[in-house]
Amino acid sequence: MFTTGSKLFLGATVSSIVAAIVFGVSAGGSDGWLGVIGLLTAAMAFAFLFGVNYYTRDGNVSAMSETAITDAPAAQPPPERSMWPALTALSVGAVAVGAISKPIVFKAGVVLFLAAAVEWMVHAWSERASADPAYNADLRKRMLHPLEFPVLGAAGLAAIIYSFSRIMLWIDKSGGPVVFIIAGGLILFGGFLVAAKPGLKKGVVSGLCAIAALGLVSTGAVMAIDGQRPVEERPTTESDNGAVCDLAEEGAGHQAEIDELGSQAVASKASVGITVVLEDGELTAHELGLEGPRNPVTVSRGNVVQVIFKNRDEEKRRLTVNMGEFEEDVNGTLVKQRPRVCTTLVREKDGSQFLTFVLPKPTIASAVPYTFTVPGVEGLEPIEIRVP
Amino acid sequence: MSGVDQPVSTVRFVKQRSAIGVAMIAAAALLGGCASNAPQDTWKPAGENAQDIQNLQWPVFLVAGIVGAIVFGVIIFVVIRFRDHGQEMPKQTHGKPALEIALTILPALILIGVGIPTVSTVFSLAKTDDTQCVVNVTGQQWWWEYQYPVQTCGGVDIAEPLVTSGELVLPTQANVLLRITSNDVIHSFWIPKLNGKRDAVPGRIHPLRMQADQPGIFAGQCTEFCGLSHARMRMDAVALNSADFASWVANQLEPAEKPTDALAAKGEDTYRAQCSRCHQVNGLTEENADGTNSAKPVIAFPDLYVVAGNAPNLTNLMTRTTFAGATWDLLTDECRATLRDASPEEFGALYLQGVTPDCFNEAELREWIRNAPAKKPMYASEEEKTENGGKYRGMPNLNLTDDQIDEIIAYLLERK
Amino acid sequence: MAIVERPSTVPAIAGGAAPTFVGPADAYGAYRRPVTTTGWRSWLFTVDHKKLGLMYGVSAMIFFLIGGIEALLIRTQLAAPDNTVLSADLYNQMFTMHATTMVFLFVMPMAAGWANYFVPLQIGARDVAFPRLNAFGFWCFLFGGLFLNTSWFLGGAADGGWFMYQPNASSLFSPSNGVDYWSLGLQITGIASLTGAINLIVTVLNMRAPGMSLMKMPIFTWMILVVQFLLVFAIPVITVALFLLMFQRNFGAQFFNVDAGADPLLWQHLFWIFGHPEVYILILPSFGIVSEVLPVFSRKPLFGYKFVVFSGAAIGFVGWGVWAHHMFTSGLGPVSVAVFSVSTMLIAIPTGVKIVNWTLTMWGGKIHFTTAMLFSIGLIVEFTIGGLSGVTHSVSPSDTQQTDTYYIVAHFHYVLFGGAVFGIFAGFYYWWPKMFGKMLNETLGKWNFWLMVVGMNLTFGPMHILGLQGQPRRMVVWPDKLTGEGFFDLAFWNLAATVGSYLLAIGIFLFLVNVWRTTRKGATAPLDPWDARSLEWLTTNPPKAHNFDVVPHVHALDEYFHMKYEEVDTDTGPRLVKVRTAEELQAEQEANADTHIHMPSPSYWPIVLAIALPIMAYGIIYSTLLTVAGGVILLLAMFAWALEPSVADDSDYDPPPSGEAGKELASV
Repeated sequence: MFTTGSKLFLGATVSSIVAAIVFGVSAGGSDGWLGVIGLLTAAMAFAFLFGVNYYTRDGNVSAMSETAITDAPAAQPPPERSMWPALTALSVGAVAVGAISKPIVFKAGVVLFLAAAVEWMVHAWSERASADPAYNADLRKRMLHPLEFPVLGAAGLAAIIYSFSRIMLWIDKSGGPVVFIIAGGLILFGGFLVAAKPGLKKGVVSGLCAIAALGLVSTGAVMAIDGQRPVEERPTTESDNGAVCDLAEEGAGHQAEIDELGSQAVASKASVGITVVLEDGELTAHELGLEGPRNPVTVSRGNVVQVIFKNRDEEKRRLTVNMGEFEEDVNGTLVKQRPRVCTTLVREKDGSQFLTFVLPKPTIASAVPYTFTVPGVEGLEPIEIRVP
Repeated sequence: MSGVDQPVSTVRFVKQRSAIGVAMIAAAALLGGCASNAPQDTWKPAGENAQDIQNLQWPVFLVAGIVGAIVFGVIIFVVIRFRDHGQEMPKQTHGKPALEIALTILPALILIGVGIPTVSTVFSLAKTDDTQCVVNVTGQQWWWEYQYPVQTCGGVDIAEPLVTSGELVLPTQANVLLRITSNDVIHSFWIPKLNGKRDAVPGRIHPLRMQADQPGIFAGQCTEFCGLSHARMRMDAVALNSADFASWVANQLEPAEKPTDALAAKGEDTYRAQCSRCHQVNGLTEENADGTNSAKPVIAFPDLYVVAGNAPNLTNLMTRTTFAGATWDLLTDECRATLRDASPEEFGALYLQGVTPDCFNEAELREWIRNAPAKKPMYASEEEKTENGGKYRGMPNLNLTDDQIDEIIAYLLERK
Repeated sequence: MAIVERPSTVPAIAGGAAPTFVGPADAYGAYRRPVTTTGWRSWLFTVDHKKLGLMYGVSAMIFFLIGGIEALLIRTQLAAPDNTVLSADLYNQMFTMHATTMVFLFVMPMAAGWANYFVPLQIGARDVAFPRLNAFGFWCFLFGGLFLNTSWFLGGAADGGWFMYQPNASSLFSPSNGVDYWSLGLQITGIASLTGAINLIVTVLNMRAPGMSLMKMPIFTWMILVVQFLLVFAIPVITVALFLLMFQRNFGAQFFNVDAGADPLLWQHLFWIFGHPEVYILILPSFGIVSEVLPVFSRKPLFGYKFVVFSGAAIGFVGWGVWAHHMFTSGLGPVSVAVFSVSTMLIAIPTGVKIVNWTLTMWGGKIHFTTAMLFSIGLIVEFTIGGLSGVTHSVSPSDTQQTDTYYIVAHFHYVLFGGAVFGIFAGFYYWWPKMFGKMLNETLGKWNFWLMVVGMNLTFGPMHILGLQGQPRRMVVWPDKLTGEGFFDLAFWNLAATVGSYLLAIGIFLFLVNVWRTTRKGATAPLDPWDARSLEWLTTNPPKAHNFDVVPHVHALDEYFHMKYEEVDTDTGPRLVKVRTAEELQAEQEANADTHIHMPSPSYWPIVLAIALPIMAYGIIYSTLLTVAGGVILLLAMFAWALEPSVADDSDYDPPPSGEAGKELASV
């Protein structure tokens, strides 16, 4: 039935649960919960160990048999070499160093410690499984390969993916595709070579792969340390050149930066309904399907409107939509709302920006017309927006 | 049974079966093209774009029919000629590559013949630079809204944007570009006699050309599955000649008049209280505390109540002939038939009459106002509203009394 | 209690002591491998490709009946205008589940069943490459399918159409759990397809009998190989799509939400990149079956074998470049539409090659009209109709008129019913004696065939007319106003289609009657009832557990035929003469039987691993705790799978009956 080892852990499980109940009832409060959670975690760990022990019959050859050799040291082969003591020591060192320096080292140490502990345990157990070292090695593999292969495979894959991503982030935008194509081509070429020369020695192939992987990971590491390529930041709230989305008048505190919406709606660029162009101090608008510049333009009520703003001016400009004027009842007093949205500043000449907005109410609902304007341009005639 | 000896009659069956196949294709082509006068027949174009498609598809169907007939002919020949009538074990031949290659190239050539006109038609149907009028078409569960931007549409000036629903009114002989989009799920706009389908996808604007040769009314249907009442999301396209279209536009732009009838006047109050939250009537104004009308317009805000954020504008309801996703008629069956069978010359005048009291089909509208979700499955009960994040999909049951319904119908009957 | 294998030899002992060790087999682990070969346990824990093939077939047929009942309900609802048999909600669920069931739970697993049963037999192998994986795949399919269908009783099935377009299938517009069941259920059956595909690819590439080069492989195996490659590439795409859908619905992701800036067309692209190859996944196995049946009953080899093989492979390739023809009206713009139009026309060429080759196979033959042959000829005819209407769709402007109408419904039912299903039925009549050792009744079979032919043409033929006259699909009701005039109006054709569907149902019912009769008092099948051509007939009916007593050496395409027939010179020139009978060949096999046959042992873990998946899926819908519980089962089963001994111990078996030693399963 239950082996000695499993009895021990079963007992430990039960006592942890009892302890958790006792502690939870007596202590109470948030500290109590913490203790209960800790004890239950311990109970779960013990239960797991119980399962392992039960499953492996304590790893004891003789557990089930009276005729097993338990006292014939001569029959036992000498212990094999093992790297686990060294790695365990290393992990403890890493934990210690990590505790006073970087958390990542600490975490790596803990992971290494756990891995080494499991490996060591199984290794030690398997060495005494039988008197045949080859069989014992086989046994160890059988127990641990189902764990080692997925974990090491995932870790290796993660390292390669991470390294590759660091490399791609280090290279500038235009270089990325080139590197990608070259890397893809090399892999294809390598695959082709291996396929074309089936007689190639296994060692050569694995050596090449190892060199490639090492190169990738080390390059990735260097580039990770060096950092990413500069990503251009486009400030949205600066007020240079007087180009402010919100004109902040009459206490209208509503400020909306359309950047967030604009950048999210990338896919909608396929469906631009209105194109607004600023050129020579004049604003013109074109509607999909209608000829010539339009003023007023019409947009559908309640639909997402997609607008492209093209700045042909020398100055940095942004397009602003005045979304009417409404009186809203806020806590019993009528407050005037003048919502606006705008693009980010278009910094370069001939640059363009994308803008989406929704007008949920018809023109007649607003005290002032809806318009497109570009703040800061003298004498600019706004374009009126009509909503049915 | 060993399967070696077979009744000879099998051959006859095979022959018959193949004949059924041929007959089916022939019947499909024949009857599909010209048998009954179905309103959504795809082989009866009434405009340039649908005609382009028709010019392309009938030769393709013909070629397919001929190829099919040849294949079936060969198969019939083979099963008769090479049935087991005691002949010797055939030679174990593995094929003739030359014949194979020839029989591969032949269909390829036919397909090249089909492919070239296909590609050119695809591009000609996608042109947008010869547009003479633009209409924004918005689909939502389960009806279509049409908004006409400020423009000169087929020679008629539209000074203010106007909005209607259910029936898309077009000037004849003009290239109209629909800009199709959706407020909720994907729908598909389809007037078979004027052009093929185009999906209405939220967040995207899809252009579709429309052109009608003659005045008339053309049935259509939402064809992308769009939920519960997909089957009851219909639309019509109405083509009017230039003069009629101009008077239609002028009428649409007039704000609603004050009710004349006493019952309708009461109806206005009821409407304001019950309907105006979602259904805009242009020209309807708020009431002062003393019962007189103020100058402040009543603005509907369906975006707070309905998932789609939209409800039909009812300013000119009775200029349309259908309601609730063009599924039910505002006209009696008789008047409906008269209108739909009218000759192109008479059609415009008849349509511009709108719904006259004689022709008014009250029963359907009454049922609808009494309990809309019972008539058309929608997602509009209180319980479903909470699942929808506090908004209805479609029109809820407002629990109106008979009197209230009478008043509202009287009010609506004057909306034209 | 072995979780580890016995050492292959008795361990060497230092000091030369007597070998009195306890074998580790006595010492470790919780479970041995099961060994039963009879009773329910032998089915639950089997890894035998033939048993799994049968279970695939039986389960798929049950789902076929469920899907068929759904179809009949749909047709009943549409028999008359404004009918009220089904509510709008129920109707939407019905057509969604009809399509889902027929595609994912009938045709795909049915093809998997055929492939499982016959690919190893046709290539002269004793089992598939990964027997436990094979069992796991089957259980995934079964549990996934059952999980999917439990949604009927738990708040309603999926109602978004089998294409599940976004945003209509998002939780706002489809608030029941149906779509969750759908996405999770298909995810699970997807695992079945993927593992099955990998398994069969490895099997076909590595386990062919000596001498069988790829170009000597039976055509059915070839088509299955192409399908498995399609699956390997297509299933990951739908898996990704289903994951996105699951995260969108259950975990608040925004992949298809327009308000958050997403584009709902993403879903359509993902779905159809899977969905179009899927069409070929459904049809190619049936093409393989009829390509086996036609030569046998025409007494001639398949005409242009290489062309058929390469056209199958070409369909497999080009099938990846046509997905957007499902989206001609989605607003892709004229350039994409034109490109996909042309690529769609291209795919008609290899498909046409197949029709031509089948016809030319019969040309000059000596045709026997067995039921299997009738179904195969039926497939050629019906598939040609479906193929030609398919060409009319490739003309995209014309397709903008036809898509989403009944014309499309007609088209793909001619392809899938007239194609895939007829092929499957040809397989039933052709292979039944091989699988069960009894002949299906040919008279009932012919009734079955003719009722199905007439039924299907009466059901789907009128749909061409309905569609071209503008009746859209997926509508719970069609209004009287739109039926047109005259006697042959749309109401007439709708009613005709409904009548046809009932005829079709009677035809399929006759098949069930036939099966029932055959099982009770069917004639025992001779060893080689059809004078067949491929290797699966070189064994007993039904085949032995280890398939072949001797693995044959292959010298030619149609090896079995060439074993039986040889060309003999006579006065009138060379003549084919039967030199050996099937019985003689069988006797030869048994005389030279291998004495040491290693067969995989059954295993507990595939079914345990598979049952964890629906538990996790229920958890995703209802409670995270359940997911965790399922996950624990999953992990434990995975490790138990990895750790169990690779074969059962000798001593686990009953002593072999005398005289049969050496041939029984794993008795070594």
